[in-house]
Amino acid sequence: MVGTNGRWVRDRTQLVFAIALAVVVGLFLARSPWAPFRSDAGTAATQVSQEELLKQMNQDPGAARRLERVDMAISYATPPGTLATALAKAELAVNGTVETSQFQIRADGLVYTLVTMVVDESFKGSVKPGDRLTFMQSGGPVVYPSAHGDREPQLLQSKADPILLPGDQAIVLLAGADYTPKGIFVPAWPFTSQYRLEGGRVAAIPGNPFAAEVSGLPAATFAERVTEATR
Amino acid sequence: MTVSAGVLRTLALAAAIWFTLSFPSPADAGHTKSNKTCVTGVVNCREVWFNDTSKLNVRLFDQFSPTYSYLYSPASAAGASWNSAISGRMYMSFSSQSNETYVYLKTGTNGQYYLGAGIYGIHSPCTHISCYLGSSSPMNVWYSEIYVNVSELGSSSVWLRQWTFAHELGHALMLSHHSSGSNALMYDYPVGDPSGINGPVTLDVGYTSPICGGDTTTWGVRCIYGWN
Repeated sequence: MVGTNGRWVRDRTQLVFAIALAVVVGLFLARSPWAPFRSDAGTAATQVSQEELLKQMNQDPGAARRLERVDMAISYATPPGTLATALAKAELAVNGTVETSQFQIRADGLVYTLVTMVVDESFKGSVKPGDRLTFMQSGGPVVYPSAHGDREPQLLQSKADPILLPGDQAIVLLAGADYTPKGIFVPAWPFTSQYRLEGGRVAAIPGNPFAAEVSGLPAATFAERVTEATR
Repeated sequence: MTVSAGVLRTLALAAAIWFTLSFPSPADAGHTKSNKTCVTGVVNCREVWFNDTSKLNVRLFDQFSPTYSYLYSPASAAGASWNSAISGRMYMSFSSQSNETYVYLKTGTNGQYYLGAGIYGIHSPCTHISCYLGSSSPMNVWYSEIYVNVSELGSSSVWLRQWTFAHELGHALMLSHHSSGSNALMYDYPVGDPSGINGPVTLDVGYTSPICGGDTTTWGVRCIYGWN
């Protein structure tokens, strides 16, 4: 490191000075409000615009599966305590497979997902197997601040109504709403309107008051219970 | 072998960058954050909050009167419930305070602001860049907006209106849902209308000692802000 004693002394002084400078600069930047690395989501550069993200995701809705799902900060109504009560409010109850999930941004900036499902089995309402129905889910791909302190694409969703994507199979309970376009349904209740069928078994939404009774049931058994409850 | 001054300067610069990137921001220093009730990875919840000993003054703005003046009383009671739960560390008020952060209380109807049937309210945290309706991600919040659904609350009990405001104010303090504790204000939905919990309880307030987020008794706003 050194050639002569004098040079070593000079180099060591420079090194000590350099370290001291590093500490001072580091402290200054770390405490500065404009430090670019601070975990203030607003200061980080956006990787992709909201419009561009929706365009990309609509071209390949399956890509939304790779996005981190983030639940909205919402206060929900108390869901019904039984399957029969949940079905009572529903206009439609069907077992279906998601054909398309179209992500839309409204003029007010809100992002919604329009899910079109092909009906495999109908339990309630004037639809039959083979029909297509469309319902609206709150949220979709957004460019929001992330847990990493940056703004990153994520799948914003209602915890009470997780976003369904193409290929998903589920039994859904739907109702009409006066705030959606004609023919577009919404979930009948928070938490109790979606039952995914994964590997032939039911997966109720966490928070569903009777999730313990139905989660894990074979799809056919649950379908029988739904049929019974609608009578 | 000798080391030139240029190399030393380069090393110094590299050290400065490394040091800078590894140094925690003032708000983060000394905290162990939870990935449970506390918002994941919260670093700086409110711009006006600096450290463990910093008092958080929350100014509430009534932007629903006079059309929906019936909301004032439950909104005020919700703020008071947080004040009594975290006495001395935080104060919510419709009156001006020093070094305050802002929460605007607004209304919406079904079809607006992600409100709809079965949705009572939503929180929108705002930075200097934008507002992020419904977001529960960590950010340096400048002010908040809370939208309560008058389509749903117009004919509800006063108890439910207070629950909605208190719950959304919990989101404004950067709490997320406490999904495993139905006896918490921050549970997903109200339980026990009209006599259940409609203000913060121990699960919502939490503790900081021994560490934040160690078990179900240590979640809550004290966990986020480091208030003992």
